[in-house]
Amino acid sequence: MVSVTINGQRLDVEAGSTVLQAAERLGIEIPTFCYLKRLPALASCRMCLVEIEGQRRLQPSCATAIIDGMVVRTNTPLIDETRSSMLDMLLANHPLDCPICDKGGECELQDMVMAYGPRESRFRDAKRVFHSKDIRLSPVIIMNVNRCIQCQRCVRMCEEVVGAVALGTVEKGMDTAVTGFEGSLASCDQCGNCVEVCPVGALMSFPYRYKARPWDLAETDTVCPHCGTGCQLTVGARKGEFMRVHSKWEHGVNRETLCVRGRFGLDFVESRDRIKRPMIRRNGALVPVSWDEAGNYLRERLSGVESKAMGGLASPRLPNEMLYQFQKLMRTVFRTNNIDCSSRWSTPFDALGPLVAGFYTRAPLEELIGNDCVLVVGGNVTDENPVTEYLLRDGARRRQTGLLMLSARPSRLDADARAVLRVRPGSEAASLAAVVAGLVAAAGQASLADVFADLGAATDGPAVTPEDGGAHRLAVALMEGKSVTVLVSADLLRSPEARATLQQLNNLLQLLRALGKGPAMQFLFDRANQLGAWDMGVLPAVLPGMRPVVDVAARTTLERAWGAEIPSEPGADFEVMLELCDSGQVGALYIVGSDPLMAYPDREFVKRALGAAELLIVQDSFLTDTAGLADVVLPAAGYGEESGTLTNNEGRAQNVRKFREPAFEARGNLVIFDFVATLRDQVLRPSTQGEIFDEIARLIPSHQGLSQDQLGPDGAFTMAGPPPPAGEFFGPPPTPTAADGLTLITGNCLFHNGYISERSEILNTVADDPYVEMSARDATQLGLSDGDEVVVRSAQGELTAKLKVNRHFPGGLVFVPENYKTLRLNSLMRRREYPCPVEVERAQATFEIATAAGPGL
Amino acid sequence: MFEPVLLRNVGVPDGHLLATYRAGGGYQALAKALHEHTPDEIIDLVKNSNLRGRGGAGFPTGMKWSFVPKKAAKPKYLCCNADEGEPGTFKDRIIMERDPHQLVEGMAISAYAIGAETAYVYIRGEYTLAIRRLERAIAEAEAEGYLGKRILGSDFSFVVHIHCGAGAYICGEETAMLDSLEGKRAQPRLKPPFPAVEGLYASPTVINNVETLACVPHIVMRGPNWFRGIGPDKSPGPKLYCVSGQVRKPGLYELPMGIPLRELVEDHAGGPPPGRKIKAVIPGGVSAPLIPALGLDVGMDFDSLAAAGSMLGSAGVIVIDDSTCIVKVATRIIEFFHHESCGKCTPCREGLNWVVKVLRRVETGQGAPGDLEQLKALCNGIFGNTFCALGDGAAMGLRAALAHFEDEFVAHIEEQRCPFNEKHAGRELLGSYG
Amino acid sequence: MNMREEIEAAAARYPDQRSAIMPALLIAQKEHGHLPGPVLEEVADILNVERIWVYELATFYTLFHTEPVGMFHLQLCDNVSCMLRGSEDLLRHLEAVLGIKKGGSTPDGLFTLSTVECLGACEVAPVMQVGDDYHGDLDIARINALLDRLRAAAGQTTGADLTAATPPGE
Ligand SMILES: Cc1cc2nc3c(=O)[nH]c(=O)nc-3n(C[C@H](O)[C@H](O)[C@H](O)COP(=O)(O)O)c2cc1C
Ligand code: SF4
Ligand code: FES
Repeated sequence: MVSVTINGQRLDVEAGSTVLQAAERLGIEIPTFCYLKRLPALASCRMCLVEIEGQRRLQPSCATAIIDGMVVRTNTPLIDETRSSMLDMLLANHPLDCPICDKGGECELQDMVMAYGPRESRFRDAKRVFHSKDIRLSPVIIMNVNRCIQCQRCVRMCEEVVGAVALGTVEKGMDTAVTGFEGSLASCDQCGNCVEVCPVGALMSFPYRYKARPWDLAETDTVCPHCGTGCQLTVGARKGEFMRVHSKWEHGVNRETLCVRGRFGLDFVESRDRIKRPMIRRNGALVPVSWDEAGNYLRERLSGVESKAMGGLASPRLPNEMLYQFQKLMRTVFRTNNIDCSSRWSTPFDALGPLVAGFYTRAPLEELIGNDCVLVVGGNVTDENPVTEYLLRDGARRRQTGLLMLSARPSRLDADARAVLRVRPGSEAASLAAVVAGLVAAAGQASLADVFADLGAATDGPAVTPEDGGAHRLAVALMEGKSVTVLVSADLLRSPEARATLQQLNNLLQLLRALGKGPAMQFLFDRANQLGAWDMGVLPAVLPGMRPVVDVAARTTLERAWGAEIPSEPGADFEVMLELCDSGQVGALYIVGSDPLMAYPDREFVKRALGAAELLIVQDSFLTDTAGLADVVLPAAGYGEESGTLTNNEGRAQNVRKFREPAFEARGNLVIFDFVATLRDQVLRPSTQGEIFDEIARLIPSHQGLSQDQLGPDGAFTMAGPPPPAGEFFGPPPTPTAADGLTLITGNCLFHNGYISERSEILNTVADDPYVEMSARDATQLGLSDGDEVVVRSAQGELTAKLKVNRHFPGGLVFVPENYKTLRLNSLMRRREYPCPVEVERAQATFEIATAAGPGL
Repeated sequence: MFEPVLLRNVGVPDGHLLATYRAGGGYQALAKALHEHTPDEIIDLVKNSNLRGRGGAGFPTGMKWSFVPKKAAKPKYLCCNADEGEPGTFKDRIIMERDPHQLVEGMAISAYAIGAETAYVYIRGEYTLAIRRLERAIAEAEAEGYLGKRILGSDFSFVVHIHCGAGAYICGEETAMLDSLEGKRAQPRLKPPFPAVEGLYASPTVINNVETLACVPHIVMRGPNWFRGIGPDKSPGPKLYCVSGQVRKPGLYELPMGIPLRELVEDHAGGPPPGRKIKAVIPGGVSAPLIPALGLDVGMDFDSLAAAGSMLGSAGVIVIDDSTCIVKVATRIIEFFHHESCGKCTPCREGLNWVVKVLRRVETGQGAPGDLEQLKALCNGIFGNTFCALGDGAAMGLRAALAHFEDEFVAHIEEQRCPFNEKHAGRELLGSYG
Repeated sequence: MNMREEIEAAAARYPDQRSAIMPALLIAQKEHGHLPGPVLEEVADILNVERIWVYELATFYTLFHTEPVGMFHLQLCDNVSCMLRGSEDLLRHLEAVLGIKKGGSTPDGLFTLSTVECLGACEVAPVMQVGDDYHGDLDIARINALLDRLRAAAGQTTGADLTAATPPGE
């Protein structure tokens, strides 16, 4: 600790603190422009100059570390004059076109001039003529160079936080301008963080341009619906019409950052693809009807299928309260445990349960990243959880966190990693086992006699050797780390090898715990409420609180609270439900907010199975492919039309808030559940969101003691359940079969991560066309080059898209993003086969065929 | 007559070749340093010599070297500042063109002292002849074992790379040079950390000027006392003075530190052209405030010039005679700084732009009452508040011009024209060496 | 050595590829005369660095040209020392005889006329740099003679042989 005196007030602060930080703690305001908490000090704007006793010149408080005994003044006439002078100089060439500037009313320069500026400028020469027109850097970002005050926040944000390195600074001196390569940001992330941090109206959001004045907007603090990172944001709407998003700066995991989906992808709420009225199938076609008619129809149809099996699927994007109510509805009204929450994989809960119970760390990601070592397993965090990636990069660059990557797909974060293990798709389990073996070797058996005996017994002697260089390096790095965090992409859950992968993760975490590394673990979900969905028991084998259905005590507690019986046997997961449908055993399948026909492997099969369900009920806000097959379609409130809570990857429960009424005839999801229960002459109690939250807080251990009012602007952390008894080690993973051809994997791309992003007009504008990615080597071997139209063919089907050659890709790997509707990627996939062997070749030019056939016609 | 040390080989035919350099005792200092001295002893020698940096700031060289951590996990670097962008300065170019081995030897000894195995010479891209000659000298030195692995049988290995600048004055500022070397836009860095601790690639780095490094072999050969015996004790040594502008014999002069400016300009450089009088002299490149004719008795060393309100800087002595308009000179100087401002900080980037606009108006007879006050206020806003010394240099220069020649500025505003215009029109070109 | 090899050789001098952007741009400009977008992209590809970094440097430093320049780039120093010795008159003269303003190029593509900051040769002010060469102690007669020599050299050679035609000031 060192002591400092500012304007006569004394304070003790940590060594290394800056004058600005100390002043902030004392409540002394010092104006700044170039300073941004998240970034290293630049000290270029000179707004924050202060007097320090013993120094000849004024010093930038943002970059001056306190030396013990320092005496600082921030309120002298000299400082007033200097601040005023800096502002005078900045204003000299500033356009002062405030009336037509989007930033008007929330401009830092405006505010600063009001507070510290000269009342009148003495500047009387011509302002510089610089760029007369605004420059459209990208579909979403537009730049007015004249207004720029060169704080460089945007450029630093882009390079140091986002890692995109798309923005830069050209020319020098007075000609300096922020721009992209050759004046374009065509190939940037379009995250708009540059726009967010711009203190003036230089970088602007194109979609929001000239749309509103800040004081006309009704602003609502809420949570992003796009991925599990769960960023806080503020939606600005005018009379219920969505206008813009900005970040909350001081709150949430993300602070001032967002990714393109969060910042620009919320316009999906205005999509025209909404279901306007209830619909029922009549003479083979879906026809709009009133709610009453739909109710009558549904009541009748339900009573006809009572003897058969029931099933329910709900989207892990729905808020906790809706998911909780849904499983309650299924269990108590439909009397089934056939419930699932993922349309893309089936979760092997026997392997997942112990992992989540034993290791899932419900704590700020920021804390986890403070650990010495962070191992990221699977996926591509850059595309799936961009804001999580920003934090990881920051950890690696500024906090010396050792990043370790183990994945099939390369990501931008690899560049900042200490070690990268590129695994063959599908062999994650084997690679993890090799890391475990390496770690055992590195630790030395003697110190780990017990653990090693168990592990040895379990694995029947180390089946995998750490000879693989990458696994060895990872093991050594983990061994060197004093504390370790493991972040697991939800991607791994989709594979048939998911069980083995989870088991090996379990082995790894147990070993790390035995080695005293206090391992922390979180999943990196691509759905906003996946952890919440699990907590809420939207799974066939577990009840809310992730307690097994077969756990009598748990079941009885809930039965008593709910006043209803719960079936005692675990239910079917979605995979099995589909099979039951296919064999004609399902009476009603109730799908809420999910589009399995788009997402589940083997489109033909899914279509057949869904068609074979006697009664398909789809409750959604959008007209999905699946809804097109339904017998009854119930229009539900969409994002922003009802309030609730979401639990993000960190286990942070946050308020997602309503900013307008449900569109058209849509009703809140809870209202619809009530409606359906009533059709079966039952009532769900409680039935309002707030009351349901309270019930959750009462009945689910992870939510014990939480109250919605107390969630606060940063949300509140749910709690880990009691740790399970010391786990056992799992046996060796199946030996991966060496594929010599090409293997296809899929996942999210930056701009699309599911059916809501597909309905954002802006995301569709900035996203690349559907594409197929492969290594330069494979492309050359196949005689293909970047931009070629190619056909990807599997045993099941084929698709055509543009080739993107990625020089970071390993050989043999083909990637197709999963969320392009037009690609219908799932028609290529077979169930229980992932990754998928494929062939790739140049698409026949269609006009050739046409002309060949032409003359004869 | 002062016996030249640094310019010893400059007049010699083929002075840039190794053979010539060796014939004059070249590389004996390196051998002596490697065989007879530890690195610390070399640092002490240089400290005791009181050698101060010739790049402009006059920082004691030995002290700078001693800041380099002895034990560092990272490699250490030596950077030679051969950017020489200060208007009125050409001494480093002449050393590199005419006697490049002197620099190579100086770098080798300095690198040995600080424990660096790699040096980069940051040399401005316009200096094509100097670049070629230095390249050749490096190749010759490598071939003869003065550079490379295990130099002269010692444990010391050392390579020198040339990095060409591409036209930006700010690259002469040492931390901007580091950013430039790292492939970034050349903008000054925050200090601390100082380069000696965290410089190039975040490794300990010493940056020295060409002339500074060229002094080192002589100090090693002749000892620190010899060096301190030349000129004032606190600011000693042989010194290169670049004399240009309105004098009869512009050129590079090697003389002791501290010689009176008047002697340099009037005796050595031949004084002003016939029929003219000296009006003012800029003693250390355009960053140094000008000194009016009355003040020419000042000694040309760091401390005396500082006391006189100017600075030795790069010792680029620019002589201005009485036919010249000071407003015009001041405008041109500020235009230079404005053009070369890196754009990082507000006062330098925006302030100088404003100053240029006002000055151009005043110079062309469109000045207005209040302009001078505005200029002074702008100088106050700039001076002391910029990120690096570039902005300070500009403000100091303008302040000096305003202080010593306010009447000329006032005349421009009052008469709404430049009173020198007719004189300019009738003036003939001066031609070559006077 | 071709351009790629030359750039790779330059890059070997640094522990970090980014450092080699400046030397690479100098090499590329020698090869192409100036630095249009595709050349910048090529440099970025060869060094495997971000394109924007290359663009930043190509515009920051005055010796790099993103626009074409004439076969002979006349760079007249107009800083203080040269100004004091008449560079303004030389500029006026050059503008008159070439029929262009400073910053412009002659329509035949032979000459581009610029003024530059101090060239570091004030002992022979006024000074002009053309290509690699400095020409000092200039007056109007010497300028005229120089222009004649350059025109003659251009008549005999193509741009590529220029260095041979006007031997550097050795
Ligand atoms: C704007 C500016 C330009 C400079 N230009 C040069 C230069 O061209 N050459 C030089 O040696 N030093 C220059 N310097 C000084 C360097 O920053 C640094 O002090 C010097 O290279 C250190 O070497 P020395 O200790 O040997 O003098 C400049 C400083 C500033 C602020
Ligand atoms: S003072 Fe100028 S150069 Fe320094 S940081 Fe601010 S803008 Fe940049
Ligand atoms: S001022 Fe022209 S060369 Fe120096």
